[in-house]
Amino acid sequence: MVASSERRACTRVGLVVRPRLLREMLVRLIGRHPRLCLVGSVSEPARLERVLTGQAPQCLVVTLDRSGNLDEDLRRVCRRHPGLRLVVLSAQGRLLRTERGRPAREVDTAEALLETLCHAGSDEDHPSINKQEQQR
Amino acid sequence: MARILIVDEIRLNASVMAAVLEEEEDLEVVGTATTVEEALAHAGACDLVLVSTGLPEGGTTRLIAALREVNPEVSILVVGLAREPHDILHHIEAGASGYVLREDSVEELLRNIRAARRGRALVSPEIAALLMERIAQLAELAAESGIDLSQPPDLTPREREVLELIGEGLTNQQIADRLFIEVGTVKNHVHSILSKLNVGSREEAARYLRALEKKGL
Repeated sequence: MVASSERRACTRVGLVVRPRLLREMLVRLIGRHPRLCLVGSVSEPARLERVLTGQAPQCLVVTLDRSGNLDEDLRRVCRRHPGLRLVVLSAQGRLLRTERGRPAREVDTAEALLETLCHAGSDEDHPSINKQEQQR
Repeated sequence: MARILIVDEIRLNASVMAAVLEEEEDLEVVGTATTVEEALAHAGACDLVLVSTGLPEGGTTRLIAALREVNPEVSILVVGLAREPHDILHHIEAGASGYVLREDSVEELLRNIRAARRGRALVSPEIAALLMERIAQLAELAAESGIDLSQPPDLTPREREVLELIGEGLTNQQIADRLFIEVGTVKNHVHSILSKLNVGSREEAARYLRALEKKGL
């Protein structure tokens, strides 16, 4: 019973993060968080299929490309999976934008980032997002 | 237990790194900082500083120099992308103990931290080759300038003392006041020092001293 509710509370997170040091540190932090479940981790958006197959993530943490844009592969994935939420880090690592449809807000600690990821998997915490997604 | 300060212009990066390093039993993160000023406030409380290369306005090299001044015993590891190998040399010459690439693994970061605490540096074969090339260049420059760094100069303890004060930029009068000796005696020492080092000016002598200190002589 407890295990079942814990499973429900766990947000499935995928990583598409460069550079490697930041990616591996996020893997460690997410991996040991009781409410987060890491389903895959890659450096390049082109390898994203590896993350999306199997246990589909509810949320992707991604870094922008060198020109500061969202990679085209990521845009395509977002169009195909409209329910997938993105947490976008700038090329330098700063969080620029949380989930789709919500205003940009800055997260500057590891704790705040993990909390954001936990909420990204909780429909109750973001009714406005659900509404927007249902309207699509 | 190594006490670590993390300096990164992006607070989230520093915070993520701190959270990861705090999991290690032999490491303690004493603080994080995003600016040179913030970092220097913690400088006395740490054994090792991890500094990002991205601090604005040359902040990384400024911080390295300031840390060396405030806490000469501190180990400094620079963390950067190093698009050019010479970026790495630039920071090592500024006083860094080592360089960790952002494309390295967390395990490699931890190995570098532990090595730095033991007074060692882990470098890739590419960086080792660059360092050797730079040493050869410096030796060539020294030879052209008539400076022989292969042997420590035969200075008396008093001459060494005077040379160190020259290195601090003191005048003969100031040196005399500091050591409680006559100015004439200082002049004799300076003459002897220049002659033994085979250099023509106080500035060259000061440079020589810095080179000796870098070699640990």
